[in-house]
Amino acid sequence: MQEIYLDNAATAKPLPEAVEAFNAALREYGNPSSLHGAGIRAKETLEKARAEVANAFGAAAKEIVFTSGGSESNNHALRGAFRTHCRRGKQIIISEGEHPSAENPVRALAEEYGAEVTAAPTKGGVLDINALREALKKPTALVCVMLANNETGAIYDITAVREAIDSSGTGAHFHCDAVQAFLKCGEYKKIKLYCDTASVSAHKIGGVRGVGALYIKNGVRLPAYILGGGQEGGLRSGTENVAGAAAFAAACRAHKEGAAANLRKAFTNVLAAECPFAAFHIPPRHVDSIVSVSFPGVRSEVLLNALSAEGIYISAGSACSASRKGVSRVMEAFGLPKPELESAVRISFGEENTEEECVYAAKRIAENAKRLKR
Amino acid sequence: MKEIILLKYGEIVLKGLNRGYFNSLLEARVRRALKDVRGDFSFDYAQSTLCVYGDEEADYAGAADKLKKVFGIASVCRGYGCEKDMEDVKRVLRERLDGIVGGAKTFKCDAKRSDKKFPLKSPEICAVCGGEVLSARPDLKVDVIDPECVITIEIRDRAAFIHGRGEKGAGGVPVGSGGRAMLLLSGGIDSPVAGHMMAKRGAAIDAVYFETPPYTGEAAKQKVRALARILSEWCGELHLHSVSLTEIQETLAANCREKLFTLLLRRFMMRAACALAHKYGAGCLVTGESMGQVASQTMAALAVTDDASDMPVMRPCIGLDKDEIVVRAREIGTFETSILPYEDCCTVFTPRHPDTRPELAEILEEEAKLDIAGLLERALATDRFERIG
Repeated sequence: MQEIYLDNAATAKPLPEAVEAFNAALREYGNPSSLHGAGIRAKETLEKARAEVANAFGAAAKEIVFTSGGSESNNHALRGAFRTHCRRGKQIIISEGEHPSAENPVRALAEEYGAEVTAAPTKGGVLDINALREALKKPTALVCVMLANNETGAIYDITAVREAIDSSGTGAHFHCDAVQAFLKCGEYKKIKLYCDTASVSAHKIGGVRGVGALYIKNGVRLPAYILGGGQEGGLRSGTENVAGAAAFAAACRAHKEGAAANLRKAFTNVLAAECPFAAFHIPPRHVDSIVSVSFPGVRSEVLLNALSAEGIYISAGSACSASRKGVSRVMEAFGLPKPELESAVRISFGEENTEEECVYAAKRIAENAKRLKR
Repeated sequence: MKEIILLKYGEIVLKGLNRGYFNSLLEARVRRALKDVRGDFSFDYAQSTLCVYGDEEADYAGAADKLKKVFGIASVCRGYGCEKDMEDVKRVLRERLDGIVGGAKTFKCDAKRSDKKFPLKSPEICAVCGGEVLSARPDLKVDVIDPECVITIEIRDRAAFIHGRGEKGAGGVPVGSGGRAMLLLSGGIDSPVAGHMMAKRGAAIDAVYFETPPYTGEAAKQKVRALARILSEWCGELHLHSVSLTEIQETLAANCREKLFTLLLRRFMMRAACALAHKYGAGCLVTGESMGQVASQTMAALAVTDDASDMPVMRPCIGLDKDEIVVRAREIGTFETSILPYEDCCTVFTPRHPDTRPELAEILEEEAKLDIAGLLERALATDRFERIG
């Protein structure tokens, strides 16, 4: 069975360049902390990777800490920044669209340290900047707004967030979860300008699973997350994942921007034409790689199962929350009526996809949705 | 001295002339339970106790864990075997005392002398052994009324055994001694418990899972496989059938009154399960139904469901509350898997207001609209089974 993989926002197929870099780096068997030749070679590979990942941000190498992925980066930044900034105020402002790996650490800070959580609405995929400004009238330790939403693809306006923080005089730390935006839209280049910290993940852009990075703006202080031998500038101890970092760098290098735009266009045109009741959820600003669409009368998981049986892989909401019962909190915040909430699916494109595949998948999705509509 | 595991047989010791049959069946179950445990084990049956000896490699702790899941065994007791000689008994006591006593502070000795020719009588054995224990561990105190540890010395025909208090076994009678049953396994909390209860009473279990692709997915099926695997730790290898009811569900949804969907579907499940049971030699169906738990489990609904079955339907959970079923599910280890959130067969087409007092006549009237034989035949053609455990 020919498989068509359209769940790249969950994890993208590793790019051949990334796999090659991974394999090559595995042969550099040394521990980067060792002082002998093998260690020095491994250290070189690691630092070269760091420089390349930093370059993708337009940042300096010393601003990049390698982590195990987006979730760890979010946990590190949020817990760390709250500890550093909680004297400024107990409030943490988030958006209603945050990924569980950002929202749950914030909820934990509320339980453990009495942080007060305020969530700014994201109706229609637009961050309510007035609500954020209003909240910033109170002393605030931390603002956490993602750049691109993982379920709807909506791009939130981080320029406005920065302006709101600056004009509030709170001095709040600004953390941005950029996992779905990194190398997927021009906006990620703003991270360096506006964010104090930002999370990215290798496997969303064709690297391998188990590696990510935390961008920490020069001059921003964050406590260590894992204590030990002092690797990663003392912030994240543990022997470094050299091969993963090398694959991450290779993926950054090989990644072609703008590839998703054509795929998206071809896909949505066919789907809209062949399935009149398809309800697209298109935020005014969005990444091209994610399409969110509902088929009222067809439960998301039913469509997903039917397509899976044909070898077409899409997602019901985000993979991190799709296995939970009930509807997506993010889609609820988007403002969908119940029939659309229960039937929302996410199609996400990657570099390995072809236009032909996307058109075929759109036809099969339309066909199945029509057949399964009750 | 040899390390041993003593398995005290449960109610099969009360059997009469067919006792030999039960014994050999239970021994076979014990052998099977130990097949993946490290070490070679040999067995010696005497006086309603099966003594398990391992070789030097043997993993006794692992073996004991497996044996606690064998039905027919009342208690599983790790201990030591030695010569029928008081000096040897005392030596074992001294060397293994800490393991036998554990953290207990008080003890008593209990002697069982089934070899009546042994020179010392039971109270004398106790006195000698108690003295030995006290001299080795002066911190322990004797308490004959309510001791924290009972050290048992058994003088048997061929050897002496020394052990502490055993652990409770699985109870029941050997799997297979009561025939074969076809369990309707849904992926919920109740049906694995029902299967476990019937296996405990000697039924060999086969299971059938009704799926409705694409309304149910691969994740739901994996969950059922996982449940079957846990169940197989108790009831041995089982065959897990899966049968697709998609056409039946869609036909019901298109042709029948919504409030009767669930019951009509349940009746098809019964028919399909009966057909499989006949084909694979099972003598009854088993379901996890509990009286009044949901609309399809009221007395009237169960009567309507039963009508579609041509063999006995066992419902061991019928009188249990949900929380009692949950306690059992936790004990057998299926609970955590059962509560994973994947759609099972019935929920997608669940009527908003199901009928809790259905009349059979009404149901038959609805079924008259359907080609029951054809639907059933095509559903059964989707039957696939896999061996689990």
